[in-house]
Amino acid sequence: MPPVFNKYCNGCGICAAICPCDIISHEKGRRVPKVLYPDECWYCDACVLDCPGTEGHKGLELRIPLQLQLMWMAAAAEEKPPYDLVGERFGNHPDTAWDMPRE
Amino acid sequence: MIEIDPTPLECDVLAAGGGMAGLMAAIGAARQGAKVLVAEKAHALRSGSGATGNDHFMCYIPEKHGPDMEPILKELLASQIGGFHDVPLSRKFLEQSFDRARDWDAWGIKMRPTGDWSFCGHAFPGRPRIWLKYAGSNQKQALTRAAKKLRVRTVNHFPITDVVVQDGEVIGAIGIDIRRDTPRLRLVRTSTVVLAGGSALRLYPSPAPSLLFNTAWCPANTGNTQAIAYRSGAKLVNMEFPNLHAGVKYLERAGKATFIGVITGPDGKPLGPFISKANKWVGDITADVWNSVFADVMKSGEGPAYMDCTATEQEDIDYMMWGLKEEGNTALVNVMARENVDPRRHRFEFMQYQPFLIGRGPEIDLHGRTGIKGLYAAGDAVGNFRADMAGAATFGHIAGEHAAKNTRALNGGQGVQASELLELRARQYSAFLERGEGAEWKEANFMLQQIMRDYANAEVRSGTLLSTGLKALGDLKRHAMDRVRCSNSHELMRMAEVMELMDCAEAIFIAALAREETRGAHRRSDFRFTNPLLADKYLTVWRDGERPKASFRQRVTDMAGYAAYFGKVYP
Repeated sequence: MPPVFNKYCNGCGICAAICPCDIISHEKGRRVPKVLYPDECWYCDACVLDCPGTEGHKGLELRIPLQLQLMWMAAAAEEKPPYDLVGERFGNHPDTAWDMPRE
Repeated sequence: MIEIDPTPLECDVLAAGGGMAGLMAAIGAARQGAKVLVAEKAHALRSGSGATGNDHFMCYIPEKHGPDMEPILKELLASQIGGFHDVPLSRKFLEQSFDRARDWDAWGIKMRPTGDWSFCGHAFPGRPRIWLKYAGSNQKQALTRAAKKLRVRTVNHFPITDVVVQDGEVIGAIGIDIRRDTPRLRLVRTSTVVLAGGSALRLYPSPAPSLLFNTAWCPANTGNTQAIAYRSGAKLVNMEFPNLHAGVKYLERAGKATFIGVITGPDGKPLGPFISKANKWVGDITADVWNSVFADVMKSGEGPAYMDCTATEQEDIDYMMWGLKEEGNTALVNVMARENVDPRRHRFEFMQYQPFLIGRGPEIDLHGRTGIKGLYAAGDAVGNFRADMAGAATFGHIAGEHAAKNTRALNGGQGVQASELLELRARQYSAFLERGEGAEWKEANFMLQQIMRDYANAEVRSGTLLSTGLKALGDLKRHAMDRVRCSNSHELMRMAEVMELMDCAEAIFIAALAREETRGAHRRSDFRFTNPLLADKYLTVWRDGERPKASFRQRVTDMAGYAAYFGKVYP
């Protein structure tokens, strides 16, 4: 669920007031807000940025869903084949080219 | 029936939207002494595409660029945002852009984060740099504060959904008060409205199809300005051209130019001809000019393509990470930290996102006016000019200023309270709210995305595909109006958004059908060629009576052309 509240939430409700997508609801009386529409989160982080929290900690955290996994790769120079080749090499990739046996 | 607040709000100038353009319009109007109201769907402190920041402000600074504006104009028109400009607007923008940059600077936005005005990013090697690099993480707070100082009244959680036009003149606006769980309609009595609803997201599927709101620009921007202008009879322009953006894969974010790296293939070699090593002054502009690079290499199997910062100096990486934060990409920065992804060691896969509407929409004149008296538009929604943040700032201000000087007395009568449009909306919204069983607004939004993806995409279009899509859109509109059920304010607001999106979609279909050629990402398989006769022709679409209208006009390049077109159409 996108914004996730923790024990540092002071119940001020700023997050509910400023959310650009209106996904958080806060009732008066300093209770922890509720995320009513988690799948309408923009992941803009405004709720976290504006959270005063308590004791120097933010009262909520943005959870990024698994569908939005970051796609990254090691630098090209470091790349190695993701397997060990056993036996002879075939094909024409320079790393796996088959050397024609000489007579 | 849905409750209607009996007392309309009153103002000289209404800014419909409290994003960058709306707030700047409000400020421009308030500086002229007008009584200004900003109606904002969410909260002006954090709403719209500038919610958490931005870092590039297109700007002409004579002391930096020299006294001749022409090279800068040329660079603007050749840039990725320069494709659809009526040139007199670009000139006026350049003339005023530095004034607005100085305004922002004075209001506490870090326009000179390094101490001086500096231009970095989105630049070709050896050419003038036109993008002022700024640090805008506090921009919404700063503008909200500046507006408040000028006695602008902001009503948050109050999306404007319609403008009421009588005898060709604006007499007011209708919005939904969503502060409480039960919605009610609220009216604004005003003779001038600056539409500032931003771009239109959620028209096409997200790269993560299950996440409707995973969009680079603000997903609460749903073509409000385009739809209201279209319903009011104003002309929309350039709607047929899909705008494509690229960025980090899956987590759809703006800001590809903030990355200081080279776009490379899997072997680490640059895909473009511009640079092999990036620094903070010149990044890789390949994706600005080869817009589809990321999609092309996936289709050909040569991909994926990466944003490769591994050769970038640490100093520039630090600058880049700072830039990402300042432009509001903190969520991405936090994910990178959490997953121990290091730009000096790891490359980021990038992708091309589905189209969205930006720089396509109502055409405006030099004062920000649409062709409807009292109706203005500014910001990302404008169709014949685009300069993103700086465009919103400059033309927002211009529109607000002009609106303030041209308010009209609303003569007697019942006005907006007695309008047919109010009666229609009250009836429609009440039907949504009173239905016991029914479809969700989301179903309509997803179906709309399917229609747009299949029948109005950026890969292939044709008369048969577009006509099929338009027919399906008509069916969807009917089904949505007859079947959607809303149980509270939030859902009604979302349904009103879907209605806006469907009107934008209609304009896209009409325009795409009428442009019988292939040009840019508008690819007609039944008209495979680019017709030189249409090279400088802009296509406008509008509603007039039952059937939509479409008409080509000459792109305006100078003041004579301006007088010939806008002088006649915009008296």
